[in-house]
Amino acid sequence: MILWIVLILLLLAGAPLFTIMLACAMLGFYQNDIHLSAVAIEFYRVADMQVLIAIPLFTISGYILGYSRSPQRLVELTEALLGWVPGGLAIVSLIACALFTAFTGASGVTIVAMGALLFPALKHAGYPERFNLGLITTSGSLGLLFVPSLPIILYGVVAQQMSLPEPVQIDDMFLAGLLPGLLMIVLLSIWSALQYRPVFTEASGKTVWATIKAAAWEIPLPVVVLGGIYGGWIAVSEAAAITALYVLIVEVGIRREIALKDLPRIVRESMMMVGGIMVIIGASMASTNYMIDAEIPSRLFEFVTSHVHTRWTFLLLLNVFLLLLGMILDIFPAIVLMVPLLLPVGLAYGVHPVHLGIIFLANLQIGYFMPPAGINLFISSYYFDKPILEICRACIPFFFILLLSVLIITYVPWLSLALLN
Amino acid sequence: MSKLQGRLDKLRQWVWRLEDVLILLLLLGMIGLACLQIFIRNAFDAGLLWADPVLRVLMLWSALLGAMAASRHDKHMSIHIFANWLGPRPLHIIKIFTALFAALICGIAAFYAGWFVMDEYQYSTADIAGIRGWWFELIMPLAFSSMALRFALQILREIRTLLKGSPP
Repeated sequence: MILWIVLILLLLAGAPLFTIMLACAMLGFYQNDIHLSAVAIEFYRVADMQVLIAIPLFTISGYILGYSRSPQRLVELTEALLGWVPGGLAIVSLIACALFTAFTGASGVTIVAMGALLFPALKHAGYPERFNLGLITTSGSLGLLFVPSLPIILYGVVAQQMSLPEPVQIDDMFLAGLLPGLLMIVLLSIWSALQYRPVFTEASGKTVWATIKAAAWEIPLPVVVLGGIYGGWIAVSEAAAITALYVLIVEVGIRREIALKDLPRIVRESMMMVGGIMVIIGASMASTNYMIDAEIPSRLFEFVTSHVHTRWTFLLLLNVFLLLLGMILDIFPAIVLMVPLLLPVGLAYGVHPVHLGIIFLANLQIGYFMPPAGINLFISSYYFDKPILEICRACIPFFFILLLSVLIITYVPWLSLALLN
Repeated sequence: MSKLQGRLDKLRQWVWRLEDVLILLLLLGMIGLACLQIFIRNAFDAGLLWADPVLRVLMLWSALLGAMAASRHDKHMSIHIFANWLGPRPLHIIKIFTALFAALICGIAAFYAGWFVMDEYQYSTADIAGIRGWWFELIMPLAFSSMALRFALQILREIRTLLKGSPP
């Protein structure tokens, strides 16, 4: 008992999550007289999962794109295409950030890379500062529901480990995320357009053509990845490999926006993130075993099903729980830790596993900038050099709009399941 | 003392650079092999039998080397309730305890991962592309012991900044 309290204190104090999970697994094996080398055997199961290859490959693609001038070209292109819409630049920002986050993950890269471009542009167009801060902080996690977002892949991987009656296909998850993700962008766009519609910038045909030409190398990328995966022509891990090769050739070889000498640093940075995710997945392989041995999932299952009687109450409680969880915990460990516990409960209430995944990700996405402790609030505060409370205030309207969309996503399963066969 | 410090710093720089290059090579290998596999399958309707398992091992190696790098820069995922609200001094004190715990757990994991690899070395003859399995598994004790060492060094760093009284 004392050991567990110590572990919880260490967890709250900020000990690396994977060490806490390994400690749980070790304690569990030790109590059951199982030799501790079982921890290593379980951990090594990470090398049995083909789809995990997609994680490093998409991550390196995202980092290389992020360090090149692609974000700038993306903004210029969307601006030329959408600048004429009322509130156009705000919508441009939302779409560009969502696309960028889908490729890079919500690791704060969006705020830094896109914020540097969009913040001055929005200010120049006449948008008030508070709106801009809120918009960019919010957009830092927008796009997590789109291909090839890693959290979606990870949800699929974890759900596949659980031998459900009907296995969750990652391609299905990608299809399911499309409409809910669009709903978020549309709601945010409408609100932005109603709020401010400054500077009517209509780009000439010549400008549009110039921006298209400038982004000629990047335009095929979402087409190939989105089309290939959504169309079912290539597997996720193959799409990841092709993307990585393509991005390397274009940004390092052809455009030369990334110098060869910077490549090891960029690769290292991206692999630090991947390594952080993988040790958590590996540790969860070992700790999940212990959790099942200790009957934690079935106890939770009994507790919840005996206290919560309708599906709607369950979903509401799930929303609240996931929002709070997303505020204090990164999306990857949140998925790895919580999906094995909550998926069986959700199934008992008749929630479709794919729909449940979208609910998971949508909530965790908002958690990223939920006041008072969402991590992206701090990244924004640090990057734009503004007090944290100001950022929190700026995010509040955006938070409520996305909360509304999460509620719609939760209670209208059709949105997530319509595109599935 | 300062001469030793200088040498240690230099050694550390070399080790870091070596790791960076190794991560880069592993990743490039992964991209190359995965694309080669796709090409062979589409062009000749065939496949390299060993490519998929080797890809997964490359993934594990690059990820664990990445995790080693993450612990040298204190970039592992954790719950961040206090970190953003506490002052620097209490934070350093807390970090001493969390790093101590992390070092201990990684040390135990390294020891038993080593045990597992030894077992495999003695009893298992499974191989991929003619290379015995334990070679691939070797990264686990290596990565965990290096992470244990790095968390231990972090304890020293935190204590030193506490004693000096200046934030890093």
